[in-house]
Amino acid sequence: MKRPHHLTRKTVLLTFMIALLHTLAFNAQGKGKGFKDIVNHLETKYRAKRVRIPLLGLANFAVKIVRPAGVKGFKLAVFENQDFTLRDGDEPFEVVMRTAYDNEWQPLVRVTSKRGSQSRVLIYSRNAGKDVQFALLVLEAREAVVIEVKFNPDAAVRFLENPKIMGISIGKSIRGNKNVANNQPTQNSSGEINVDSVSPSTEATRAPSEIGEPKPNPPLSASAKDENNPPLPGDEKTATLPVEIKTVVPDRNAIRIETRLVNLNIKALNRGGQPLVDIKPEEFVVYEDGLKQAVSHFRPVDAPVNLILLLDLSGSTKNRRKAMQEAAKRFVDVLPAQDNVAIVAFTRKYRPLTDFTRDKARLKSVLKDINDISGDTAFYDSMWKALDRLDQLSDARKAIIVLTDGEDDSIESTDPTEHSFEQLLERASEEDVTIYPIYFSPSNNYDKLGVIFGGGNLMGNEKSRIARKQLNDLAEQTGGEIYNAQREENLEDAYKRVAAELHTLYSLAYSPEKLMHNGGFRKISVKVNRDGAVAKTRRGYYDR
Amino acid sequence: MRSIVLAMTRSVAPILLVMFCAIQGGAQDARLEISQLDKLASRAAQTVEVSLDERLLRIAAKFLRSEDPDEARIKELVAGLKGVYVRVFEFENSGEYLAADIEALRSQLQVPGWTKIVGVRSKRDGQNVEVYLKYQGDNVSGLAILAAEPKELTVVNIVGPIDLEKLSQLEGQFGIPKLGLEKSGKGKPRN
Repeated sequence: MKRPHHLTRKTVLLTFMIALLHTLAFNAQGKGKGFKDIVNHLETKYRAKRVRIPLLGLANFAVKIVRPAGVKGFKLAVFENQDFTLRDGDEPFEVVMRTAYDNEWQPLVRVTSKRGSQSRVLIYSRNAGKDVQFALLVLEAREAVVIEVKFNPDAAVRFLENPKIMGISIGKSIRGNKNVANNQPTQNSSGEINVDSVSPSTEATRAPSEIGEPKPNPPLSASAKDENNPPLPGDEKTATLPVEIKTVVPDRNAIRIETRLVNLNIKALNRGGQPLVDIKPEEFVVYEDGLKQAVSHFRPVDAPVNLILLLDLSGSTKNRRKAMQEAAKRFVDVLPAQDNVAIVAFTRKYRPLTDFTRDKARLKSVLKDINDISGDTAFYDSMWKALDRLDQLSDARKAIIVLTDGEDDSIESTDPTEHSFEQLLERASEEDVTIYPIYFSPSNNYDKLGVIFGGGNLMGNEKSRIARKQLNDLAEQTGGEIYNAQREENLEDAYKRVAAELHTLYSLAYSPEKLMHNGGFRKISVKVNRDGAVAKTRRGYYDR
Repeated sequence: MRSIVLAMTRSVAPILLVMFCAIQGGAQDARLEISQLDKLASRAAQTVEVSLDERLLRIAAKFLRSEDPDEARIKELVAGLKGVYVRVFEFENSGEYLAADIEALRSQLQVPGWTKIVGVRSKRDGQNVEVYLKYQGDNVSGLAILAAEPKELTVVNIVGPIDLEKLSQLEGQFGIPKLGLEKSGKGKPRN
């Protein structure tokens, strides 16, 4: 008799589910073995009872969702008023710990004291991809605490700089900044001014009187004269006078509440691929994971952009400095007067040459000094620091124009950098920054098709191929575009195209609904309600 | 053609392997085998053991502020280090450890490549501090400090390039005890 089809399928599905659950349970059991074994040892050997901590399970669940300070999970067991004195013949706790945690775990710290309370502190650590796990056992004569925690160091550092939970700021930087009160940049041992030390956000377009007050939502308006971003004092009367952006210290007593806003820089194109610069805010329709979103903020194409001009001054570009200088100067010249530019050079070190400024004379003058700078290439770390710098700005119109061959020292070598490309790409895709790489080919091989924008045949070695792909990925993920400058004479043209591209971007923002903070990727798509028009923006963000 | 390529690969590969091992070996030789000291823990009243590998050092360095001059100096010092390993044993009474207990460690520092650059011996308080550097060419690839007192033994092994001028800044960091290295002075390496 032929078995009914639906029963066969049901049986297969059920078998699969059982196998999957069993595998998950086994894995969970395997992973938790260290903590469980330690707790089990204390409970059985010393007949200790754990202190009941109310809502601990809920707290752990919340941590897994919210991930405060980069923490992704924790286990905790506390024992009080128990006798943990080591008796003769007892296995030392060091041995118990070593047995409980497999070889993937390495001892980090072990402190044992036979004096007084006979305390022991044992800390083991384990690499877990981008994360780190720590297992901590603290034992005294009458108390014991066992903790296991997993966290992401980069997220933890970011939290320390700008403590936020679920997008809500919970206070000033935990790390503090000794030089903030005097607003003085610090000088490192090489004599370079570290602009990063100036941590207060650069309020490029807000008058000092507004500091400490919540920023009002700008009205949806296509007008270039944005009421909420008044021009700097003096701009209206003497537009040609240079203005250096003053870095102001925000009122530390002010309570700031920030809601999650997703900022987008969008390019609108017609059928012919030409940018459209007259799109009204109501013509944009934004979707996130297919759900239509309500746009709350809008900036037109001619609104000021805050950009970092990042120059690769490693050894590979040393012979082309003159061309780089001239092209960068032309770039500064063609930028609109209201754009704020910071010039940064990088080798193995990140070297800010100016803070954000509209003073074109100042920008061009520092470009004269780039001839003497040379070194290796820490491209990923420098891009990371540039993102850190832009992160301090409240304005969402941000861009990085990076002139580089993109060949980070860590490609095809064992020379480690602080951040990998994968980390950089993930971060860049989440930030409100559009990246425009100008790919300066490291080789003298010329592309037979000439300058090709956004693609082209690559002649050269594997390292160059990897670097170029990475630059392309950065541009693509952030809604930017890559420009090739295979020859020195192409540099100026590339910069001009970037300058033009910058002001074909609209900026808008929306508050997404139903954030899960589960790390899932949220896909963004934007449509333009105009015949034949298409919109280009970043692909999405990770819902952390 | 294929046979030529294979033959070339066979002859070149060992050379490359040896070169690779030599490069890696430079860093690995600077790491001392100090686990044999762990037997002293049973006699010690207090033991401190710190083992920081390269990755953990990089993670720790992230939490140092670039804006703070002191932390920035340490951050710069730590960049590029491959490991920091510390053992500190405190004893209740003098004589609870012997010279023979640390002989195996000393023998590792007698091999070519390690150079003793500081030796301070105080008969008054029985303190003996020795600083060794491991050279790879002209560059320092490792450092070892052996500080022996009647009731305390400290061993510090730092693997990786280190600037001796800035060494004292690491005292008190990453479990490295304050040894008063600046006061000890710095001698020139003896070839």
